[in-house]
This record gives sequence, structure tokens and C-alpha cells, in this order.
Amino acid sequence: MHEMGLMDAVLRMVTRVCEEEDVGRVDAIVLEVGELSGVLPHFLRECYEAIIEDTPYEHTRLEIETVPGTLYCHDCGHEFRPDLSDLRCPQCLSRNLTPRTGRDFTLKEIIPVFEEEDGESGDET
Amino acid sequence: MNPFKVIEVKESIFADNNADADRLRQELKGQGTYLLNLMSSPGSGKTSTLKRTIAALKDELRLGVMEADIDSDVDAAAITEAGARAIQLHTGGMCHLDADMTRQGIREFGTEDLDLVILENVGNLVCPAEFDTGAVKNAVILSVPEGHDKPLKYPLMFEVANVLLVNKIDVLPYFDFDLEKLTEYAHMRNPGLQIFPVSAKTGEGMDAWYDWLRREVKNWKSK
Repeated sequence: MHEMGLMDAVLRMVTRVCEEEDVGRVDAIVLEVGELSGVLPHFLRECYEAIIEDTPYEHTRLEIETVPGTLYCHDCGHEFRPDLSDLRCPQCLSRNLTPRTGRDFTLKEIIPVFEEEDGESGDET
Repeated sequence: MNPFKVIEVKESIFADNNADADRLRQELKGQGTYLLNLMSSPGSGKTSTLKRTIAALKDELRLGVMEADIDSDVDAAAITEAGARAIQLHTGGMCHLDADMTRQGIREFGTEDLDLVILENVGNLVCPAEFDTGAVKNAVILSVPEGHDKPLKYPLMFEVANVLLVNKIDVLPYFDFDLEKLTEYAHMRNPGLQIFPVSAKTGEGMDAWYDWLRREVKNWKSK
């Protein structure tokens, strides 16, 4: 499945950043998913549940923020939010379109577990 | 230890792989090996295209094929028979190859003595487009029965491609496939895309593709 490979890349990037920033346990991973990135949040969540099993991220939450997609029409200059089942310009029906926003799939931030003493936090349900 | 703050990353998920792919390209440049990433849907004729290409070029270039397609362990034998070295990579059911997996394959394969290595990526038009393998160029095969609207449905694949082989043109009369429309749609996504209509079965149009490969390998080795 497409999203499984992507989640694998997400966890590898999170692991790399945590090493660089000296983060212990991670409370939440926050992703930004563009509407035109071809990545489906529903499947990301499903793959995430499967991929974190028996890893240090077993208790880490996944937060997904969606970024709206807009397309620009090269023929009439119209900029619009597309109907994903019909990728044509609503004004002139051209297919000569370029995404302006919503193309990216980004690791926005990592929220470390708040470690006051050596509490057993991170076991939220 | 940094227990309080939120770590702002704001990096594309693909950034690490892209950087790794650039490193792999430099390594391959150093040893004078040209890596081509070949992508397509299953059933588009990748293996037949490879077999004919190997037969045409094996006397002038030292060739290798890395097979990553899930259904292709039968194909590796066909490739060896055609006259190229071949290796089967195990992607563990993954839907694409990334730069790190490609590097592991390259190391296991031993490519120092090869001029051209073709990486047969996993057969689909989505995931392989997102992950740079470290190849010098990307080629896509689209076959006539798949339809001319594929560049509209899989835009990223046609954006990252440098070359498009339109395969199975010998069956054009039997399908509602419009080569002009395909060219128009593909160039909307990628104006610089080179398109070669071919039939890997009859050999029609294949010479232009061989010439492209010869030029590419020559330029890579000389620059």
C-alpha cells in the first residue's frame, strides 16, 4: 500500500530528528498533508497503527493537518479549489492546470513527552 | 535533553531520501555507471522492452538489470538469457524503491564494471514517482491498452519522467488510444518529456530509444 511506504519514511525522519535534537520519547508526530499530494489521511492512520507496533512510537499519537489544494489554470488564469473527481477548470474546462498549494507532504513538528521526573507518561489511551 | 519545546521540523517527508539519492548519483558518477530507473504499471511490457534493448546494446555496453518488481522473479532468468547480468531485489512487499534500497542492491550486485544499469522499479504509477532512487534519469513505459489519459490521472509520474515509451503501438488499431492527446496531456505535466512510440514486440520505433540510451551513457561518462 502506498501509505505504508510513506509512513516508513515518516518514522525514519522522526527518528533522525529525535537523535539530532536529543529527544527521548515522543508524545505526538504532526504531519501536514496537502489535498493534492495523493496521500490519504485515512490510510495514513491505518498504516501508522500497524507500523508503530513494537517500536518506540507505540504510544505516540499521530496528528494530521490537511492543507487545502488550489489549482491554477494556464488558459484563463482562474485559481480554484478543484473537485478531485473532475480535474478541469470550472471556468473554461481546460486541463492545463498547475497546483499552487496542497502538493506537499510534510513533517511539521514533533512533540516530545513532557518528562517532569521520570514519570510513566506517554501511556495515554 | 530537551523536554519542553515542540520540535519544529517543517521538512518534506521526501527530503531525506532526496539527499540520499543525490549522494548515490555522485557515487555512481565516480564509478562511471549510468543508472536508469524504469517505471510502469504491471503488464506494460517492461520485460519485453528490456529483453529487446539488451539484445540491441549488449555488444557495445556492459549491461545490468536490477529487478524490484514483486512479480518478476521469473523475469530475471529471461534477462540473463538475453545477455545482461541480473539481480532480483527483495523489497519486502514495499510499493517502491528508495535510494537506500537501491544502494543496497547496487552494492550486492557489484556495478563497478557496468556501463548501464536499469532498475526495474515496482510496477505501479504512484509510489515509485515519489521516491528518487538515485538514478540519473527516469523512464516510464505506458502501453496502448492502458489508455491515453494516464498523465491526467498520475500527474506526478509524468512530471518526474525524462522519457516516456509508449509501448504496444502494434495494437493501436484495436484500441481507442489517441497518441496526440497523450502527447498533449503528457507535455502539460512536463514540457521537456521525450516521447518514443514503440513496439517491443515488433521492434518498431525502438532505434530512437536505443540512440537515446547510447547518448545518455556517453554523456554521463564524459562529463
